[in-house]
Amino acid sequence: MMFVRDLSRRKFLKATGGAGAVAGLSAIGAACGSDDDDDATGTGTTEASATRPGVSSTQDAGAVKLAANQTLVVRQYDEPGGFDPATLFRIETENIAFNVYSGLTSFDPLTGSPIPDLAESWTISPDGKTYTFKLVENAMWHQDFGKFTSKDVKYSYERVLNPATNSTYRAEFNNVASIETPNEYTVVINLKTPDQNFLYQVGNYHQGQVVKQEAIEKYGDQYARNPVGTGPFAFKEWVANSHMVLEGHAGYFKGAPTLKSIRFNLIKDTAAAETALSNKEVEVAMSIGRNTEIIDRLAKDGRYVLHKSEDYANNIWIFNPDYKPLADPRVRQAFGYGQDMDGIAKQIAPHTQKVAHSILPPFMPVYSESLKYTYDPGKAKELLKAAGYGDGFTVKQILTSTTGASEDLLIRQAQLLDVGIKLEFELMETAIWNKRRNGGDYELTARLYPAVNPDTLLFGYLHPDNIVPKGLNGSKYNNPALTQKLEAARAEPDVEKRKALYADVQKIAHEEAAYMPYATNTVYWAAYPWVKNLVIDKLAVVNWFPVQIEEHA
Amino acid sequence: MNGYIARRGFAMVPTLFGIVTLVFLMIRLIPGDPAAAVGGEGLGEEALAALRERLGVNGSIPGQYATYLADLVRFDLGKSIHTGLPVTELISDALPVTVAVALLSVVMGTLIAVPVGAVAAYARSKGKVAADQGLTGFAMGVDTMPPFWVALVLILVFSLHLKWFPVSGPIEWTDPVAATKRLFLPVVVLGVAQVASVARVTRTAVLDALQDDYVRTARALGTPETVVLFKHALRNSALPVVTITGLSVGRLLGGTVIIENIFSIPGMGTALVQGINSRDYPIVQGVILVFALLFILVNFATDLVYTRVDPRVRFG
Repeated sequence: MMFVRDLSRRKFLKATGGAGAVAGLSAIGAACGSDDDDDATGTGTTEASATRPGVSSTQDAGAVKLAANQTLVVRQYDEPGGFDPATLFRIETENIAFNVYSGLTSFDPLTGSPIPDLAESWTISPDGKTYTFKLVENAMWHQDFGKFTSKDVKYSYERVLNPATNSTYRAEFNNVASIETPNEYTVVINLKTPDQNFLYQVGNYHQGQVVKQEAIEKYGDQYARNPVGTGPFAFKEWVANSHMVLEGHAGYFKGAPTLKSIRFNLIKDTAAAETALSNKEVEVAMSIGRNTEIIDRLAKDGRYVLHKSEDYANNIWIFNPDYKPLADPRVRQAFGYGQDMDGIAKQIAPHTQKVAHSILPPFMPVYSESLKYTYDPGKAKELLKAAGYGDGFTVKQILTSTTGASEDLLIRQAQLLDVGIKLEFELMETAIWNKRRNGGDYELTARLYPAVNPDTLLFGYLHPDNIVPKGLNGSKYNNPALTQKLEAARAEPDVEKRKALYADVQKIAHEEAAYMPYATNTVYWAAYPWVKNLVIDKLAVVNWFPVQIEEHA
Repeated sequence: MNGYIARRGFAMVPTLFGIVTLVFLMIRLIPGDPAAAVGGEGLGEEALAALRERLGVNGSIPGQYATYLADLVRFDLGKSIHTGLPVTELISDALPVTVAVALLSVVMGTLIAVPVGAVAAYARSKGKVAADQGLTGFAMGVDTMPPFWVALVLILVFSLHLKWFPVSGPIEWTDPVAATKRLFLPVVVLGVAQVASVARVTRTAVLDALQDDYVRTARALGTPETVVLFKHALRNSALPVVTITGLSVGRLLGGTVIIENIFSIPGMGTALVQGINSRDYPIVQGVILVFALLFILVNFATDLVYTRVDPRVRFG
């Protein structure tokens, strides 16, 4: 029997008592996402019912009969690179960091909307340029680093902005004009231009995570291996290529977590991970279902609950207009009409893909579908002919040799060949692939970029300031009318008007085929049913704070 | 003997220099800017300059080489680009695991291969061709099985179905039973991989020995056949067996790269793959250097063992 937990938002909110709801929060947008083409993000699945953010009521009410041993063992699929929020990236790292650190805000696991964290409340000035955060007064740092205060916030964010830090996320705070700390528990952040999505940028993710100056100074260049935060779990041990241990933080400002400790065992090989899960060497297997065969096998095994992270991000093709054929929108549109995206998703990857109809993933509140590229080889040929490529043309896509050309990509290649687009692949080492993608050195490439903030994707992909190599705009798209709408949307305080502006942006971009989204992505984790309240959020991160181990045989 | 050790040790110096130089050149031979190749994420010029300094690829090549040698003398192999962890620290954690797996594999492989080879030779000498061919065929069959496949089969049988051995989790030396269970399957995989070559050499050497005069004499004196085989013939066949065992250690070190990954063992092989995947050159350089040194030392030790197993061997 297959248990796939896929809770509706209504059910979740009912269960959580609206814990994630934040009065006055209308932000539609923003939190950065790490480019993660191999890994997963996703919507969650949970049985949690909460009376306060992240804490299940069952935990409070004792409805779950807890196991005496609250030590959880989790399969980690890759070795993290280090836990300095200024530079950390990739999901395996973010899953640890989210539980060690806190941000001023955090994210609703089902919608991705900002919810309070170290900031218990905030106000936004009418002009949208000043954010005033009221901080919790009972947060304590791990390792006896004392009380958390506004000074820590100012230090953390100014550290990201400091060029000497070399933070990967410095640009996220480019709009910050100044940070003031009028008292120990108030932080005022002044922006250069209005940004209705700024709450995402101070979330518990990357640059938004708050660090302690004394800890940074104490550990120096070893800080990334000795992170100190205010989150529910303190970092206890890291044996390279073996395991990591987090320990419950008794002084956590939302209360001590039920789990006493979490051990993350590194098991890269999927077959070994399945065996380890079967043997109960691990009770949760992170990111284990990467293909139909594995998912089907796990689904048939009635011992597990499959938690899925559904349609968390879209795969998109990126067209370099410097390669002449791709400068013509009709040619780019032919990519959409020349492949059976729906059929491929259903036949090749029914558990992990659906057709994508926008740059944005469908869970985002501002997602809209204005145009669907349906399979129409005749129309694709006509478009190519009108563009002067009636005899077809050849285009080369760069790929990482780690994954190579996937089965679905090979079918797309065959179908595009039928309409006259001869798609060739150039494989290379991942680091080179990333370098070439980031530098704009390709004819055609692809990305899968998880994010909860539409601005991360729309500004990233479509704003001329972000044209490669400066940003994500790999198609070098520059449409002044669209740019104006993008900037207006970011500053627009009215939710409905903002949604309308974002809808226009998506419509223009999709009609002009600035990029060609072709499939969403879903990922699966497997766990034993006695691991309660496990929810994978929109960035594929699990908040382990509410997780409990139920008594079991 | 001491003089030989000193001369052999001295002769290793040029080899060591060669290895150190090759490892040094490895990163410098990357086309273009090594820092850009390592950074890979569109780093700015400032960040690139910092990375060049961290990698030790700024300044002139001779200057870099001198610094590299000076660091090596201090056992400073640099720091991991991604984690900032000193490479020596990483290697000091990983090396004992790999050495334990390798040594136990050699022991296991030898314990299987030598009796198989000796018995096959004995069978042949007695005209029992079928038994010889059966044992030789067994060794050949084992040789045709790729270690990664053997690993997966063993996981399937002994871990998934029988649940005798774990395939994950840390290796705690303070718990010898748990550590033994954790390392058992990888040791078997690597041990089995050596059986064929060692068994074949043993068979040939023992077969030759069994035809020697001293064996005939021993039999004429009424010495039991087991003593003839395992004391006289096998002992006098030890030289080539030791040679092939020593050489197989090199192959075995390569094998750990795959096997450690399959069994999630935090050894040198895992560190090497991790370093390559993340383009963490200080780690790659450090691990390759240590692997090369190990190989040289094993060959050196093999030479010394010759004098113990064959008194006729004398180093002038």
